[in-house]
Formats: sequence, structure tokens, C-alpha cells
Amino acid sequence: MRKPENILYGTGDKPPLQILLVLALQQMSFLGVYLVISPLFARELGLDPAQSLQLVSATLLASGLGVLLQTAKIFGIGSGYFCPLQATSSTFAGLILVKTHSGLSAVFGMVGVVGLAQMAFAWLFQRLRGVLTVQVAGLAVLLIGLGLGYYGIKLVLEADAGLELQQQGLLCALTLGTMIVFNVWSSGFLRLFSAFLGLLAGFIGSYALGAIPDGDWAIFHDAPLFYLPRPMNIGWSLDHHAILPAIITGLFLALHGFGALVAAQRFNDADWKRPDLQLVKQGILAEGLTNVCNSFLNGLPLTSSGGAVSLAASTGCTSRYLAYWLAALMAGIAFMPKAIVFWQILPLPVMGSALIFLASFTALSGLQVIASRLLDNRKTLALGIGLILGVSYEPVLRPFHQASAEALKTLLFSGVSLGVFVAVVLSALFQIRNHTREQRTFDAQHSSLDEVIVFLEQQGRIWGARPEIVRRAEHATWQAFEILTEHGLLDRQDGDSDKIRLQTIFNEYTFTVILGYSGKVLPLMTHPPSHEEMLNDEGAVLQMAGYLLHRLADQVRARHDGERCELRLIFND
Amino acid sequence: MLTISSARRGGCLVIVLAGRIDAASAKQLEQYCLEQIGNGEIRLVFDFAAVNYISSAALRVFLLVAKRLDTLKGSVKLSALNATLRDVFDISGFSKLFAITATVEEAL
Repeated sequence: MRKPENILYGTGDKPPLQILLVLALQQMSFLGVYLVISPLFARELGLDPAQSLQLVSATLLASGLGVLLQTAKIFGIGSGYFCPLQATSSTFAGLILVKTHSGLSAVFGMVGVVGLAQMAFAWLFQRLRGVLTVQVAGLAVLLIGLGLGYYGIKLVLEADAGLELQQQGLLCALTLGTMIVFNVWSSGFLRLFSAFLGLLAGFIGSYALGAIPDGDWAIFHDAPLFYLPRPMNIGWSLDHHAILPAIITGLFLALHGFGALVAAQRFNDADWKRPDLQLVKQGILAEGLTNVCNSFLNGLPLTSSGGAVSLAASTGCTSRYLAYWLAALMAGIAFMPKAIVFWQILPLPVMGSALIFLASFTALSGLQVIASRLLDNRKTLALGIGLILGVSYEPVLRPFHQASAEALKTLLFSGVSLGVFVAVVLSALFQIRNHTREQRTFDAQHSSLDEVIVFLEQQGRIWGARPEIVRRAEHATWQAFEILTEHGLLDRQDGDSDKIRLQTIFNEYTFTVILGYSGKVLPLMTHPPSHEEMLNDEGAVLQMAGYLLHRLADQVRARHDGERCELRLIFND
Repeated sequence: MLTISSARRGGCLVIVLAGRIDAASAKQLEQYCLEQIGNGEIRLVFDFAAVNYISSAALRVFLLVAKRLDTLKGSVKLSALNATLRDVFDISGFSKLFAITATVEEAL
């Protein structure tokens, strides 16, 4: 794993303590945006102030535990990446459904089942590498970015604190402008803190413009200094009506986690090629275990935060030491209601601007992942329909919620999970009649390089191979054609033309080209001929060709069965 | 199919190659280069921007040209190779024999 140039402190690096503290505060500033969700949900459930405080505090405490589990990577649980957890309003539909049918205490029993379902899907995902492909991972990252950006724009434009449009625009320009200036035109440490500096500028601007209402300040003053959350303080029970919504919610949280974890992998490795599904499994297991604990604490379901992952990458620090400090900070703030309330008074345009900033990095990273592979019609349609449904989440949501059965409403969990779900289902569907080996026979004397290129590029597109791998395969294949025809290794068949059978196999990890022909085995060389030999010995050109083949492909095998010969060129994708 | 054209620029002969340099066209290239060297051109720059394939037989031609020009105190530079062609020169060890530049302008 090679650290990308824009990452100053990678996963294993240990930044100085004072930098870690400010970076942890920066992450907390961002994740604090999601703290607003807990009181919103408390209001929807009709919780009293004490229960509301328990819910917010427990959710934060569980988030701290989740960050720790995710990063520490012990006993096969946790991805080892900096990938904090957050609550999401997308789970509200399922939770309210269970509350209506089974009562408040069953909501927290459901959170535990959600956790168990996530853990089960984590195991399943690892076995689905045929459909959870690089492109689907790219789509998940792209949708996380688009979702963050959309939510950011909504926060900027739909602020309801009595702000005028000019004030909203000014706060947005100040916050986003500060982040951009420090991220683009500064280097080193200032870039690390660009998001925090932007939020700080936005907060100071809000104070100066009087954008924080007196009522909000009063909530801040009235909040107690210390609170001790107690397990099952609100209640805990298990109801069979909660099982199906919990499993569906668990599936979509796991899909969302898949996207965030892939983004974390992508941001941390300059040579990233495909998702490491073992680490994805471990990461989702950590999320699931966190939610099982969270259930007994009476917190809201949590999932990996694509936004926090993007913030870490955009500011250049993805160190696991940052995760430890963030976990400590979250756990600390969980006992301090006054600090929790602070995030509730930060004006929405400031929050929205931060999301727009982060969304840009995430969305473009997803696009890069998708564009890194050749796309055939099947992949274009699976990804295209998934993307369109993912970004059209809200219009799709409305009629679906009006018309469908209660239990199915949780299907439209979030744009990310909807888009990824559709892409995965279509990818699985398109596997039908897509697993046969492709084969074509060429006339060795009269075929041209262009015909071979057309065939291999067509196969590359079907299999989604990287373009550079296909180029190398084309070059090596034509070199093999040339050796066979120019050096008399092909047998004449029926006295007229020679035939070479070209077959391709792709298994997501390798692109294999097999040349079948009648004649002599192609000589492969492990050492090149010397320059003198190349100039003075005609046979050296054949040796060099055999050596080029040996090196251009990642693996080469030549074998024969009587007169039937086979040359197998394997390229790692 | 290989197309060869050339023009004098900045005291060098820039030989523009287009297409693929396989065993058949390598002979054509060898003949062309030796003719140019015979005409007194001892500073050659090859433009590979439009080349999509090079075989081991073609590598031999470039080696031959490099040796010939070495004895005449001349030079040969290769420019605008795509990633795969650059791989071929690197793998064969020939990239050590030639000055390789990203563009023709850099080579002049």
C-alpha cells in the first residue's frame, strides 16, 4: 500500500500530539453535525428531556466505541482504517415503524437486531465479490459524495433560523471560502486544519451577523454540565414485528458501510485497484458489534461516515492515532450535555458549506474509480440505473411511501443504499449468460493487429478490465502472433492457411489470453540476449521476443499435447 | 503497416513513425535509417507518438542504428513513447542505450 501524495499522515503515521488534538476536534466539529439528528428523532418519538439526553449521550458514547473498534482491528473485527461512525436520519422510517407497532422499548431491541444483521451481511458480502465489484464500489463512493453535497445544499438554502438569503449566502461563502483558501493555497499544517478553520470562520461570522437566535443560546446556558448515561435507561425489549425492518435496515447500513470503507481504502492507497472485501467484512463487523452494544445503551443505529472519511482525506490525515483521540473526545463529550448542545446552535448554512466541501472530494474520487475500468453495456446499465435511482432518492421515496406496505418502506433507506442495492441486483442479473469463455479463430497469415485489438478491447470492456492491462495484453498477444508466424512455429494446415485460436478469460483479478495452435512450442526466455547477440545472431530476435512475452505478462505458460500447443498469457488486473 | 517520414529540425533529423513496427516493417525501417545515416545524418530523433506496437525485430533495428551512430560520434533519441512502448524498452534493457524524452521538442 503506497501513501497518496495528498496524504500527509497515513494510516500508520503518528502525527505530533498537538496536531492530533486539533484534528480530532476538527473531526468532532464535523461529526457534531449529526448530533442534531438525535434530538430530532427524540422529538419525533416524543421523548421527555431526560430520555432525549440519554439518547444523544448514548449515541455519542457508542460512536466513540465504534471508532475504536473500527480502527483497533482486534480479533478479526475492524478494518484498521480511520472510518468514524455516525447516526443517520435514514433509519428513522424503520425505527418509527417499530415504535408504532411495538412500543418505544422495542426500538432499542431493534437496534440490536440491526447490528446482528449487519454482521451477517458482512460475512455474505465477502462471498459476493462477483457482484460487489470495483465499479459498484465506485458507485457507492460517488453516491456518498453526491448525497453529502445534496444535503449540504439543502442545509445552506433551507435554513429556518430567520436568516435572510444574503446572510445565508454570506455565511456559506465565508465558510466554504475559508476551507478552499486553506486547502488549495496553503501547504502543510494549515491544510490539515482547513475544514476546522472554515467552521471557525463560519461560527464567528454567524455570531457577528446575529445568526444564532437568543433561544439557542438559552438552550446552551440551561444544559447541565455533566450527565451519566445508564444502560437501558429508556427501555429494551424484543418484538418479532421488529425483525424484518431490522434486517432490511441492517442490509442498507451494511451497504452504506461498504461504500464508506471502500472510500477509506481508496483514499489511503495510491495504487488502489479493487475493494479488499476481507477488510470491508471486518469493518462492517465492527459497525454491527457497535450497534449491538448501542442497543443496550439506548442509542440510535450507527453506520460508517463517508463524510468523516472524506474530511480526513481532504485535509491529509487518515492516521489511526487520530481515531483513538477522536474516540476519546466523543466519549468525553458524551458526558457533557453543554458541549453537545453547542453543535445544535451552529447555523445550518455553516454546516451545509462543510458538507459541500467534503462532497467534492468524495464524488470525484468515486468517479475516478468507476472510470478506471472499461465499461460494457451490462455494466453501464447496472451502474447507470443505480446512479439515477440513487440521486433521485427523494422523488422515488414519495410515491413509494404512499403506496407500499409498511415493512417495505425501510427499503428506501438512503440514496447510497438504494443506488448500490439496485446496481448489485442488476449486476447479479446481468451475470446470466456472461460467464462463458470468449473465443475467436484468426488466420495467422492474413489477420491484422487491428483485428486482434478489436477482439481484446471488446473482451476487456465486457469484463471491465483496466485499459492499461488490455493494452499490455494486446501488445503481448501480437508479439506472440509475430513469433509464431515469422519463425515458422505454426504448422501448415491443409496446405493453405494457419489458424490461431484466441480465447479470453477474466475472473475479476486476472485477464487471461490463451493462444491455441498446431505446431511447435513457443520458446520463453527468462533472460534477454546480449546486445552483441542481437546484432550478430538472427536467432537472438526470437529469444528477445520470448523474453518480452515473459516480462510483459505477469505469468506465461507454454505447453503442448502432441502437435497442439497452447500459450497462456496471464495479466493481473 | 508502418509509415515513415522525416524532416530536419534544430540540426537533427526527426523521423516520424506511424503505425506498428513489426518484423516486416522493421526491415523497411532499417533500410530507411541506414540510407539517412549514409546521407550524413548522424543526429536522429525518432517520434513514436503514432506508434502502437514495436516487436523484438524492431528493437534490433534501433540497436543497430545506435551502434552505427556511436562509431560516427552521432546521437539517437527516442521521444513520445506511450506507456506500453516505454515498458518494452525498459524490459529489454534498451532504455539505457537511448536518451528518451517525453516530446520531440525536448529532444531537440
